[in-house]
Amino acid sequence: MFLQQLINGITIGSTYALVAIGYSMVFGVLELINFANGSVYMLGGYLTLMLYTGLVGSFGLSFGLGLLLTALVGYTIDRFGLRRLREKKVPKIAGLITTLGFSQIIENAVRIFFGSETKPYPNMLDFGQVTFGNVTITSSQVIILMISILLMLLTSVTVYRTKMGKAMLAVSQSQEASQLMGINVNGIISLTFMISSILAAIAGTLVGMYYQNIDASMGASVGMKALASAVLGGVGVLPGAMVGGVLMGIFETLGASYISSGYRDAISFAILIIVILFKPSGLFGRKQINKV
Amino acid sequence: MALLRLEHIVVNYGSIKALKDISFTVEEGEIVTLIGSNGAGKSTTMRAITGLKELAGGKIFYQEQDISKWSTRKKVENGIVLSPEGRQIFPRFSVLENLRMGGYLRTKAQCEETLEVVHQLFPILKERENQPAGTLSGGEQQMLAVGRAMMGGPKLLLLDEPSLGLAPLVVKDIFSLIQKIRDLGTTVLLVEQNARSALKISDRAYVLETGKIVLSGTAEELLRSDQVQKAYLGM
Repeated sequence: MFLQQLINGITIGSTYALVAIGYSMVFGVLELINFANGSVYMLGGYLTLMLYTGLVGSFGLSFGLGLLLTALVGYTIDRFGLRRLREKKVPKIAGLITTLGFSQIIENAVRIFFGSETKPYPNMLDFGQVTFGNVTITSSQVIILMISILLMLLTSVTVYRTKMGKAMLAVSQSQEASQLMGINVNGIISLTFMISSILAAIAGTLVGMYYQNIDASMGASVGMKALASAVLGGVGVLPGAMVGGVLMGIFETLGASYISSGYRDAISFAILIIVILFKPSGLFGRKQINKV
Repeated sequence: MALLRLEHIVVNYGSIKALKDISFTVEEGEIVTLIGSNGAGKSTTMRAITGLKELAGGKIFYQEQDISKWSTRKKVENGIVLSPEGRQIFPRFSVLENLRMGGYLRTKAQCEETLEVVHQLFPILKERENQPAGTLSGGEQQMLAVGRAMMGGPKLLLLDEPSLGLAPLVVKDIFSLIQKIRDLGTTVLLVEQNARSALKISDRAYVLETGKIVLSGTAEELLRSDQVQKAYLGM
């Protein structure tokens, strides 16, 4: 029972981690919470499904197109919603409202165009399951975990090992100094939004397949949990977001199975509050050395 | 032929006129200093030259090309590099990562070559290369900021208040290093409140007051000028 719940928790937690990375990256670069990230997660799941059932017919192609479109949405949020605020040096709170606004617009648009009822989702990852004693592992769980780990590795390598990643880290420390190095700061910020949107969209699609249904409100609850995961792990630190996401998933499933499923969100957030009380910068968060 | 020429530059911050009509030139191989008190517009001039602040009027020429509308990136690519006021190093990067970031637009080979020069000029940056830059002392951070700007391969190096907040001995070091950098073939435009030390190593200087150039001449002329002695040298 415990082991089974642990496996379920790790699976769902790995998808929270993908969304959490997005919150963490954008916060790292802009010191701004992109509240639209949860809606982009939901939108990603929807776009894949709608392209698949309505237009394209091939799941792989729909998935690819879906990711491209969500990346475009991420780009749009920054390019047309936030860049002007940055140039005018508007207080950060205004940008927060902008991302909240985009989150509402995306969610409403999905309801209007695709309907607000829960939709069945095809599970393309179902190739059977294996049972050890009383523990069952499905192929979906294995594939979701593998894809998530792969994406986390890919994101980490991109951020910590490539020139582009170095530029992102530079922008997160000082936009003006980055500009003086010749870094295209706006380009790097756009890229950050696109990467975080793509990760969220992949997570949305995986979760749609895992639960075999999708609805327009899923972005709000997962968005909050993923944001919490990022804070739990330490905002702006990628490994923190990853571990935070997986832990959040584990807390939630264990809480639901041992205490009550009605309290699943309350339990995970209670744990979050306690962690923050004792470790305000999160599990992997750095202490501020220097104000940038 | 002037390396840099500003013609009637006007810069506004909202309704405040920060630069009112600034014109000056920097010739190749010179050290030119802008002196002036707080709020005179020295840093704004630097920001205007590098494109961090847009012009409200006037034109900037670099190697006889109008660069008024160039992006900061394009200017860096073409050899105009600023070591900004307040140093603005990347505190979480190591010293070496900071230096490499300075060579962001250059090839690896170019970076390695310049890195050696920078290490010769500032041996402390080699000693501390793996230390997070945020933990360096003020003087070391200043050297890092100058070294990082050098990594961009500047033809024209802009230094904004390199002596700010440093101990007198370190200030002396910084100024002698600026001379060395010039001797290596880099033209330097310097902004300083520390007028005496700056003038001692400069070829020419301009005095800024409330967004206008009120005096100009060779460094020796200005060192002897009554006006400068009273206002900036405390004599």
